[in-house]
Amino acid sequence: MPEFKKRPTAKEVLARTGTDKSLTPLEDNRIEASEAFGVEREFTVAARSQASMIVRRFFRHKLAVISLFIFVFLVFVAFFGGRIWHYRYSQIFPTAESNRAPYGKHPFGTDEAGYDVLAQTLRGMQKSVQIALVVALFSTTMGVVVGAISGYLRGITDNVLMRLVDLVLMIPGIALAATLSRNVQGGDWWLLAIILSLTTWTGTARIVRGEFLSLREKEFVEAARALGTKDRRIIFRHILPNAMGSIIVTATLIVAGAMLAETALSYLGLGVKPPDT
Amino acid sequence: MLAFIFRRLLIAIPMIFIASILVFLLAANAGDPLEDLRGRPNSQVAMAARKQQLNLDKTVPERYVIWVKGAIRGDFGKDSGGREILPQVSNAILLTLRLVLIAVLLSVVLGVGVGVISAVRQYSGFDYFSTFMAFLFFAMPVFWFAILLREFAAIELNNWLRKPSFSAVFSVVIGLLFGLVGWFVAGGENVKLKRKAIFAAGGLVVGFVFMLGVSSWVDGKSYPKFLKIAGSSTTNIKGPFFFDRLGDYVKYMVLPTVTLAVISFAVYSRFQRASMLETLSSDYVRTARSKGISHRRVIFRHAFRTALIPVATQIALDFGAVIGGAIITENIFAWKGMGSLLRNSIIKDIDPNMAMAVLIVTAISIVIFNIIADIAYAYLDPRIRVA
Repeated sequence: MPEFKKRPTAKEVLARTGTDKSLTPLEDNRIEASEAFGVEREFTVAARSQASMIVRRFFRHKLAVISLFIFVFLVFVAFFGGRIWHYRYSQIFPTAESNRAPYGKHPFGTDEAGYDVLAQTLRGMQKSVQIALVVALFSTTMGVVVGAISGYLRGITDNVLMRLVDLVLMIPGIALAATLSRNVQGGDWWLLAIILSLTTWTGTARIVRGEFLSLREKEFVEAARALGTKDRRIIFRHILPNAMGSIIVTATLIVAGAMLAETALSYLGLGVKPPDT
Repeated sequence: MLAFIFRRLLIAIPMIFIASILVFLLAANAGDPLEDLRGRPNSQVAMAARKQQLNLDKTVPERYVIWVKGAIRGDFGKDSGGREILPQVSNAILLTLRLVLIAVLLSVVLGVGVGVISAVRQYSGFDYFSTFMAFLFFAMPVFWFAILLREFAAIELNNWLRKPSFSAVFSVVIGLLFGLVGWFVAGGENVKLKRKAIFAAGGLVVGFVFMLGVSSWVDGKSYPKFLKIAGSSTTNIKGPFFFDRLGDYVKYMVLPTVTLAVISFAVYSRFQRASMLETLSSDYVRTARSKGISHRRVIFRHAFRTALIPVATQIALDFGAVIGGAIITENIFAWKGMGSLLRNSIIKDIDPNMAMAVLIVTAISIVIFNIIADIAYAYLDPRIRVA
């Protein structure tokens, strides 16, 4: 695999292949222009058709559409359910109505203190969804950036970044959560989201790095490099879309994992406090 | 290979050093180590004594230097109660290992096995069933599953074991289950119905014979309180040999082991299924097939090894982390392993030296298992060269 020390411009490539030995200024400009716009235009057109293709394929898949509906419904309930349901999570009902199994007036029943369990569930759900989505966003972004740089540049950068990942793996999230939740005053759900992001991004980083290590050797990356495309552009426009599959999978797993981790921390008394759990 | 291991170990030393600084900062700032003494009678004296003992009047860097000097000599200091830390931690490690080893073994064997079968027979009934179960277990928080297991499965089972017997319906269900297993074992979609029927009938017969045997064996026996819900062993039991204690250990181990195993089983089976599917569709597997190598050989000799890599990483990381304690499982089943040490030293009360010892052991085990994972890569996939 030939490594280009200095990225050749289009002009150099043409000169090397011998197709065009003397370029007039006009032709030279034209090549510059095609470099600047041609690739871009081609890419966006392709992206649009690809997007519509994905959408069409998605809506043909029955299970996927049903899942989408359920997901949207749950997110909707999580964020607006508390406003729609006529009892508030903080409302305490009289003793006659407390600690009862589900019945007509309280579909989820009431607890010992007389809170309506459905209202509590809706409140907790909102926090869980909030935390999970924020964690997925943060840790995926961080993991993708670190993993992409590490896998694309290799060498010493890769080594340093991967040792950083190892270091994060070596520190248990529980210890981090215990210390931070005591030291940051008024630690709300966002503090928990940050703690969870800090511990989960390493998984994404490793996976993205692995993808980049193999993708960077592919022909289309070589072609892009031959055209003189900048590193940043190759990483984000050429390689990243190809690694999207596994990134999306890990991101969805992070959403699920973050909710579980959040409940586990609450169980240990480190997470969000009632009534937000 | 040796050079690789040597170099990784060499890098591991500064890594552990840096990790120890970070972890020390966490442990030192986790809270007030004197908190449990405040408000007690004579608290001034006790607080002064503990301050003296934990060097709390010194700054954090000074305390770190003292800690490192001790740790290099193998002395992890004393906990806030004045007891030596080292014997406590080594006890806890043994206990945690006892809990974790079998759980990991069980979940790896089951997870990898189920993953491979459901990949080879993709979209079969078995595949859908195992996917459903994996997601069910994956979606359950650990503490929820553990409490369910303790409150329902264990207590019901104990009540049943007091006077065990099988009803006719139960026997029929078990027989049918064996028949169903026979049906799945017979093969996937391309297998003739006759073969499936024969296997199913065979399973049915085996199931009934099995039930007959078990119920005649169990008849008239009684095992009151067989499964222990809390603790790791009966306190006064001290047989001269390990095997004398083994029976006692097993009673305590069942529930936490099942809890840990079931949840990692879910993860491993999904990983294994995905990577097996990917390997099965790769070029070299197709080449092997086209050369006329038998189906079984292609799966086990060619695809299986490579497909183990992602699971191997996951297992190594999990194992390394779990030595640091399965906090929630230990808490629910009242085990005094690493998890409960960590919980007692950083969440319930603050005990910097103890927390530090647990955390550094965890860090070291994670580093070691990371290296083991890398070595496993090279062994499993000859295309990977460690260098």
